[in-house]
Amino acid sequence: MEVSVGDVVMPGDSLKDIKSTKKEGKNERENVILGPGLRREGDKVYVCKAGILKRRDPAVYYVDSYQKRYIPSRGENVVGIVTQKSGDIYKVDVGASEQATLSYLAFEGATKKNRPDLQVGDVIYAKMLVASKDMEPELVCVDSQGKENELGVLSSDGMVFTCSLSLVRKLLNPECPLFRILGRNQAYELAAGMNGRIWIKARSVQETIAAANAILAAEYTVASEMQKLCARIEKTLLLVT
Amino acid sequence: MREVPLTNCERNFVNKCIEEETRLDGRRLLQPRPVKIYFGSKWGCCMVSLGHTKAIAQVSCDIRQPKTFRPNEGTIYINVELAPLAAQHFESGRQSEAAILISRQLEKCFKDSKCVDLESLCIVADKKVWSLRIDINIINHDGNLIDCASIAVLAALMHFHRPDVTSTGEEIIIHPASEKDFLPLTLFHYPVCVSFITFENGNTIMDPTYIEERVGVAELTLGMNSYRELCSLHFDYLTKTMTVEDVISAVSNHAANYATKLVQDIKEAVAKDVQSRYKKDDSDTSRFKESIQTNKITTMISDHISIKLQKWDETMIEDHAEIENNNKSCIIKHEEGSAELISVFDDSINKEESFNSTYDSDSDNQCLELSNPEKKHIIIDLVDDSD
Repeated sequence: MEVSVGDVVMPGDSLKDIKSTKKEGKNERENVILGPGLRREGDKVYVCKAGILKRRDPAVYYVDSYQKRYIPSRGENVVGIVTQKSGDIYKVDVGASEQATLSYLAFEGATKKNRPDLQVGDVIYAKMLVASKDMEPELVCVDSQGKENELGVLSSDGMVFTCSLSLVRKLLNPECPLFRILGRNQAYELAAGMNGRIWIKARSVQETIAAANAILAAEYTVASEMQKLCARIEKTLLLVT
Repeated sequence: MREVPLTNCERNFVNKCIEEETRLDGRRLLQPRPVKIYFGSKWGCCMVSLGHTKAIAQVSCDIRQPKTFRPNEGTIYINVELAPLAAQHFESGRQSEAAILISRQLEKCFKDSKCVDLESLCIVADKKVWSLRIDINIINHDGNLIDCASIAVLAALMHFHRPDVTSTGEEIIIHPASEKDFLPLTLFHYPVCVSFITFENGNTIMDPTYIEERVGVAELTLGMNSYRELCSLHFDYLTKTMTVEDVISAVSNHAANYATKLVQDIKEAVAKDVQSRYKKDDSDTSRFKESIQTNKITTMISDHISIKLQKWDETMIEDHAEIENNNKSCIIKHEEGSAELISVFDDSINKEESFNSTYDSDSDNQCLELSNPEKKHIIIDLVDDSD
């Protein structure tokens, strides 16, 4: 079946009229980017995931779907679990089909002598450096200037929980007000990985649970209802403590 | 695939939670998850969900030669399958250690406690007896597989009907359902398993979830029947620990109370379904189709939130009155970032009418009384305030 932007698509559907917004007067070749869920075969583009077909200017096409299994892609920030220390690399579980590697030199200020202190079972927030379908994914905990920014080891006082990938995308959208509203009355620290893992740390156990509860409930809440949701969380928190 | 490793964060946090007598999903320490039972189209087929843990049991029978040392008794065989469907670290194919442990515990609970009248399964002594086979498939793993499986087995055994046979000396005739009605099995007593996990700090919780099972230091499974008799017992340390707690005497009374109530609920559910089959009345049943909520596209995700505050569900009910008039769910336009089908806070209300044995408040208070009596008053005060 031929589909167009905005439709609910199923695997096997083919895309019609793919075009980019042409720049006036220039005779450049058009570039079309196919995002997740789309695949080119010959001169046709097929859908390989069920979801909603979307398009962004100039010519980015992708399928937005509900998914829990993470597929690594370059440049995304993820929350990973250190599973193994071997030689000069750490193995990190990011929830993908394969474990990612993380060099011990990829930390701020790390040298051959000065190794970072990571234990098996620690949680890290890292950036995906290499993500190709034929190779092991590779993570780094520094940016191109060698600075840590917000990446690095996450303290073991917090709590890690999993959620769907679409929920993380929704929360990390700059227009999503949840974190702001939640932060008005509660102090918390949070790291949301694109792999569907969220690390959170608040002042007490109850507050941590409350924040996690709010985040998970946000999956079925529209932006306009989030104020209400947070009010309900606060009310519930008062009842419990 | 490998099991997702347990992080130090989770271990610390769960231990801290239990120390403060709270649990991630908002239950009290000795509060089980709600049980739901659905029956399949054939006799002896049922699906049980215990929170997010789900198991399907199917009882079937055929005619075999009996064992030589028990010439006048039927046989029971229990088979547990853990497929990758339930959790990513289960492998298909050969039986894993976990599957063997579960089937052995079920054998202890159902076979060794002699709850099924095996002598009534004899057709011709030393020649032909009925052989029962119970297949259990775990279809979702969120901890406490043994309890879920045992409820499924008990419900399936109570639900199962075997064909009638007549023996004419030389040969035996198996009657199809059209000639003679199928006969139910005779059960002497009704055992179920009730599991507990003890933590580093000595606190014990009932009906552990997956993460609690991984953090805990000792597990205890009691097989109890409705007459408060102990049918099986399994106790094991999961890790090396210095914690020595007399768990069994602390929780056995609570377990017996719970088992009595649970068996009562299972009996009611089975009786209701068997009645509706006899009457051929399909209006008010709890079959597999009722396990799926068809009136919403957010099927199966209504009680999806795995981390909850203790009173979360209660505030849901209060708030529901306000939004009663609104549509239950609506499709909103799919735009960047928003874009789901929204169910409007309907968790606790739209639950299936089918069997739902939330182990209700009276027994909860009971367990509160066990733990600390002051807390009960505080909670009551708070409830009054909120009204």
